[in-house]
Amino acid sequence: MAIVPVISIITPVFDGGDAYLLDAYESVRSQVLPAGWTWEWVVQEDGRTGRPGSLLPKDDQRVRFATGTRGGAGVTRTLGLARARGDLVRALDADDLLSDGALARDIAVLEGAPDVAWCVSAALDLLPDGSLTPGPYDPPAGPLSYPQLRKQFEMNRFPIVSTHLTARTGLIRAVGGWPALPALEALALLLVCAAVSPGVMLTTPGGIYRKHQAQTTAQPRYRDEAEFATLHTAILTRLDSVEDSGWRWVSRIRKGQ
Amino acid sequence: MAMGFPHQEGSVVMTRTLSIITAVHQAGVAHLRSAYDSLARQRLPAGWDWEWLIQEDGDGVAAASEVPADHRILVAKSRRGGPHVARTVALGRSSGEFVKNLDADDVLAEGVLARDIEVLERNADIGWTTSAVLDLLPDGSLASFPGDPAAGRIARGAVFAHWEKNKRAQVHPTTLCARRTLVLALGGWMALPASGDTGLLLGLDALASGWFHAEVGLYYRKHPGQITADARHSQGDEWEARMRVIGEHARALHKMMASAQSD
Repeated sequence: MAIVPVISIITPVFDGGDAYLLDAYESVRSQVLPAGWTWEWVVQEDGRTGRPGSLLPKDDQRVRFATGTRGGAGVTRTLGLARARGDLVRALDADDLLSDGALARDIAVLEGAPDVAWCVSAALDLLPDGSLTPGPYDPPAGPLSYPQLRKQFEMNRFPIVSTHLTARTGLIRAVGGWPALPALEALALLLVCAAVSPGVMLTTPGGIYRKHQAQTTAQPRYRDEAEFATLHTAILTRLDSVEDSGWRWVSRIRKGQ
Repeated sequence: MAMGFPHQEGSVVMTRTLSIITAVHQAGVAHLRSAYDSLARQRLPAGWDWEWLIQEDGDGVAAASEVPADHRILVAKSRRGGPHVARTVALGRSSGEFVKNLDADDVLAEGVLARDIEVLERNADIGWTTSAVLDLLPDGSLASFPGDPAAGRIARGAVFAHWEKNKRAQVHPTTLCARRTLVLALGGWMALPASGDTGLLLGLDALASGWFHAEVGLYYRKHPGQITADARHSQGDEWEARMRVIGEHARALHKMMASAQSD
């Protein structure tokens, strides 16, 4: 039996945070993948209402919805990871969009370079007036330097949109999925991936990051300074320990396999 | 161990710290005082002290009003995310060499902290400990937990081997005490609504050998309101998902350790 490689898109969503879920679906559905590849969309509700799932098409077997106990985005993404069957995992927020060709570009990079464990693509910000603007600190295309990423995080100038991460599923599993943090969990995961394995920047935008007033990160309560300072420290102390451990995650994939 | 007095010039008092981590949500503060009392009764080896990081899981907990004024207690709040998120945030505030979990409704047995410290200090290759547990039933009586392993060393990977067969660990992750650096490298407790401590235990087991104390280390309060009393805790789709991701995490870590050793 031929094994068809799969890329799993993991999207956490909560009841009331699903206004753009069908737009996200359309952006996934219109992806054209390299020959032999298929995608699955793992949509995981942060809660048990089932309402976001009722919005999703019933006739597309590639869309797999489930509910779970509420626990925030990190918990929800990790429950989604538990259901992922793909060789690669791509994060996608419920209010964001994939750009045309985004998955194909990510797959091409990771298939073409077996030693590369993850990649991240540039984002375009979608403003409420419908205009698109590039991110302010996009790094150049090519290998991403972990020390540089860490330094920029320490300076509060993290250059990339962490929810645009595409990684080999084995790497995400080895580092335990998204960490149990109430915020910054996508950024924390990307930094840990960077600490243990090589990654690449794609400057062609892979997605559209919607800026809107209802988004979690725009809420006045999202950015509690004391809590963020603790999270910042938590992320850096974890990175210290990972650096000290000398861990390297090595892909077992060989070209042509 | 340097001995001396803080005001004496040229001498250093090195206090070594064990960090106790407790997540508490609004409905769970009722027993916090007895948890504190059990902590205050502990006698630690010379030169050691504890800090107690209480992490409020969401609004309206007011943990500080449940415990006496004690400079070793450090209370903070984070947005609601369940016990494993709260514990992981507390880990970020901790400063000890070792970290130990204490559930907000449980009671430490006498001497357990000294036993945990002693084993981790004496055995550099041991990364973590767990202890025997007695269930504290609503009528105040105590019941033992069947299936404890033999006392002493638990070889690296043994917890995972047992878990793969039985889908439950043979030691109680609620009683974990571990080297902080290992817990940090793993990212703390796993981001799951439940079983995040089993995920951490299997992660530690992939990295280092452990130790089991046959002496009772914890009185585990059984009451109808607790998360683990919910039927969803141990069956259903979410349970299956949790078990799968915990297993995949442990397997991936074992692979990573194996490839590091073969380099």
